[in-house]
Amino acid sequence: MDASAAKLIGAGISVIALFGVGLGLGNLFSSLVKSIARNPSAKNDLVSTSMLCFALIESIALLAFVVAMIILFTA
Amino acid sequence: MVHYTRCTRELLHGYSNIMSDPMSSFMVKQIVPINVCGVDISITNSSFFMLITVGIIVLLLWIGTGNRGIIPTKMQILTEKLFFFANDIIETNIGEQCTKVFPYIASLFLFIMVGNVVGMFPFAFSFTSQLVVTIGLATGVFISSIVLGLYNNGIAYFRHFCPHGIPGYLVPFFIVIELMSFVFRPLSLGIRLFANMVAGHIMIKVIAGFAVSIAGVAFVSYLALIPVAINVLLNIFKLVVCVLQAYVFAVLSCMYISESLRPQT
Repeated sequence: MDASAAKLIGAGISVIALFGVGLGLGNLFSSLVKSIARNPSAKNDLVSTSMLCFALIESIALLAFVVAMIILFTA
Repeated sequence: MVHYTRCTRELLHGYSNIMSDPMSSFMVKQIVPINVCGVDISITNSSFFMLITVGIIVLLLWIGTGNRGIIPTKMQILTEKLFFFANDIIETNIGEQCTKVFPYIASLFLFIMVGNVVGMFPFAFSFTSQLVVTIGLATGVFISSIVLGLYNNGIAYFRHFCPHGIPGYLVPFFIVIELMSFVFRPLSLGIRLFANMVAGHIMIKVIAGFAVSIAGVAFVSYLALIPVAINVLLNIFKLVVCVLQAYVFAVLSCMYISESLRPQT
C-alpha cells in the first residue's frame, strides 16, 4: 500500500475514540438534564460539576485529534 | 471549472502555507537572538506573548486596585470578580488551608486564561499551544504537590498510594495502578490544555481556508459567507473553551495539591 494512503487510513482509524466520547457526553448530559428536572434548586452546583466532567471527557477526543494530526502532518 | 479572480489568487498565494498546512502557525520564531554560554535564551514569539500576557495581568491589577473606593469603578469590579472567582475555585476544593496556595493557583489561572484569550487575536501567537509550556506549568503543580505532601505528612505521604480496606492480595496491583495514575498526572494536565488550544485554532484556520477557496469560485462566491458565519460562532465557542480550560487546570491542580495538604491516616 502507498505510504500516504496508509497515513490517511490511520488518521481515520485514530478518531474511532470519538465513539466512546460520544457515549460519555450523551450519558453526562442526559443525567444532567434528569437531575435538574428532579431538583431544579441544585442547578448551579450540577452545571459547574458537569462542565468539569465535560472538559475531562472532551480531552479524550482531543487526544485522538492530536494523534490524527501527528499521523497526518509528520513525515 | 474553477475560475479564480486575480485578487483571490493573490490572497491564495499569500496564505498558501496556512491553507495547505494549518500547523505552520504554531511555529516558534526567534525575534531577538540571545545566546549565553551556548544556551539559547533568545526572545521568541512565544516568550514575547508571555511577556505581553504578564503585562496585561499586571496592568489590569494595577489599574483595578489603583483608586479603591466604596463606589467601585468598572475596572475595580472586574478585578474583584476575577479575585473572587479564583478564590471560590480554591476554597471549594482545598478548604480552610486555601490561603496558603491561593497566590500560586490564582496566578496560574490568570496566566493561562489571559494567555489563551490573547492567543485568540488575529496574528497573535497562542503560547498555550506549545506542549513545552503546558507540561512545564503542569510539572510545577506536580512537583509542588509532592513537596507539600512530604513537608506536611513526612514519609506517611506515600500511604495514599494504598487505599484503606482492600484485601491483602490486591495491594501490589493497587500500588502499581495508583503509581501509574500519579505519574501520568502532569502529562494529562498539560496535554489537555495543549490539545484544546491546538484543536480550536486548527478548526478555525481550516474553516477560514474554506471561505477563501469558495470566494475564488465565480458565480457562487457569496456562499463564502457561510464559513465566515460558522467561524464567528466557532470563535465564540473558542472563547468559552479558553476560560473553561483555565478553570479546569486550576480545579485539577487544586485537587492534586489538596490531596497532599490533607493529613494522611
